[in-house]
Amino acid sequence: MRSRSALRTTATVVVHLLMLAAVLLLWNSDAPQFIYVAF
Amino acid sequence: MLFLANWFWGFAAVAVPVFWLCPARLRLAWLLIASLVFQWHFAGAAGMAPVLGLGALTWAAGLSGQRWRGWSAAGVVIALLVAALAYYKYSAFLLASLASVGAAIAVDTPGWWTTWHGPAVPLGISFFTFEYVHYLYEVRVHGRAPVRGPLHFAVFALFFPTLAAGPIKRFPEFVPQLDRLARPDWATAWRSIGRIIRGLFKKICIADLLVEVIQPLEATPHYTAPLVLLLAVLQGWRIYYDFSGYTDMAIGLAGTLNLTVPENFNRPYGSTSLQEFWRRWHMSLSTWIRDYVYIPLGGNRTRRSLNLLAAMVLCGLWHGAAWNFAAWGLFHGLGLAAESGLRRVAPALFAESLAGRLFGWAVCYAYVSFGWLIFFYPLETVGRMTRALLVWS
Repeated sequence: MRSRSALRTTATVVVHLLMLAAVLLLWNSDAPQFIYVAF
Repeated sequence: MLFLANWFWGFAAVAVPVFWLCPARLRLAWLLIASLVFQWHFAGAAGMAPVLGLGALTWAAGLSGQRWRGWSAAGVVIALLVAALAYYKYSAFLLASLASVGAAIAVDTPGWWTTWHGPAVPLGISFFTFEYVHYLYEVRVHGRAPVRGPLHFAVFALFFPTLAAGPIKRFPEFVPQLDRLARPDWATAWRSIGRIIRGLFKKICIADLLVEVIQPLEATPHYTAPLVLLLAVLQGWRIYYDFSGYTDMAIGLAGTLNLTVPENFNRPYGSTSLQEFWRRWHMSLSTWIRDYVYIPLGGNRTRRSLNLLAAMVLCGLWHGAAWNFAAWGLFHGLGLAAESGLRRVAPALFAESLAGRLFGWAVCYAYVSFGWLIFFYPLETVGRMTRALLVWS
C-alpha cells in the first residue's frame, strides 16, 4: 500500500516536471493574451 | 499578458514568499499591498480609479442604512455599478448601434456616435463590478452582515490572483478566510504549485498550439462543411484550455496564499444536456447569473423561458460589446428553453440509460460547439459557415 502511494507520488511529480519542461520549452513572451482577460 | 508576463513571475516570487514569512498580523496588509502593486503595474493609475472608487462606494453602501428618495444606498450604488460597466464597456457599441438604427430609419444622429471609441476599459471591470453587485445584493436583499473592516473589503475587491478574470468570488466564503491567514502546509503549497503548472501547460502547450492550427484554417477563402465542423471543435477546446488554464493558475496562486476561491469548470464537455453544461462551464459566472438575474426575474416560477432568454442574452453580452456575443447568449437561451420544454413533453429523450446519455451528450456537444462559432466570429461569417453546413458543401 505504501509503495503504491510512493509510486503515485513519484508519477505525479514526474508528470508535473515534464509539463513544466514543455512549458519552458514553448515559453513565448508574445503568447496570445488569455481570452477572458479581454472581457 | 498578466500571468504570462515575466514581470508577473518576478512579482509572485516576492509576493508569495513574503506572505509566508511575514508575521500573521501583517499578512492582510501585505496582500493588499501586493494586489495594489499588481493592479498598478497592469492597469496604471487610470485603471485603478474605477476599482478603488467603486469599491469604496460599495463598501460604504454596504454599511449604510440610509435611503434617498425611496432608494437605499445599496440600490443607488448597484445602479452606479451598472452605469459604470455600461459606460466603460458598452457605450461605444450602444452609440454605434443606435446610429445604425437611425440610419436605417432615416433619422439623423450626431456623427461622433459612429466614430467615438469609448474610454479605455479598466482591467477586470466585468469581474469586479459583478463581485460588488453580489456583495450589495447579499447584504441588502439577503440580510448578510456587511464587511466592516476596510482592509478586508479592499483585499476582497483587489485580490490579485482573481482580479483580472475571476473566478468571481463570493464574499461570505472569501472574507472569513482573511481572519485566519496562515502559511499553507507543504501539501497545500505543492498541490497549488502543481495546479499552476497544469494551468500553464493548458495555456501554453494546448490552447496556444491550437491557435496555431486554427489561424491557417480561418484564413481559408472558402468554408467547407468539414472545415467548419473542425473549426467549431477546435475553438471549443481552445477556449476551454485557455480559460481553464487561467482558472487553474488563479486557484493555484490563491492556494499558495492558503486561500480558496471558487472553481470554474467541472468537465463541461462531458455534459449530457445544456442545463448540465451551464452547471459545469464558467461556474462562478453561471451561478452569478442564476442568483442575481434569473431568480430575481422570476426564475422557474413565472415566464421561465423568457427569464432564461433574458439571463442568457445578458450572459452573452457580459463577454463583450458585440452582436455576436448577444447572439451566442440568445442561442444558448433558446437551447435551454427548448430543452426545458422538451423535458416536460418528452421526458424519454432525457432517459438515464447509456443510450439516452450518449444521445444527450452528442446533441449537447454539437449544440455547444456550433455556439463557439457564434462566439468567435462576426455574424456575417457565421452565416457563411452555417450555409456551408446546411448544403454540406
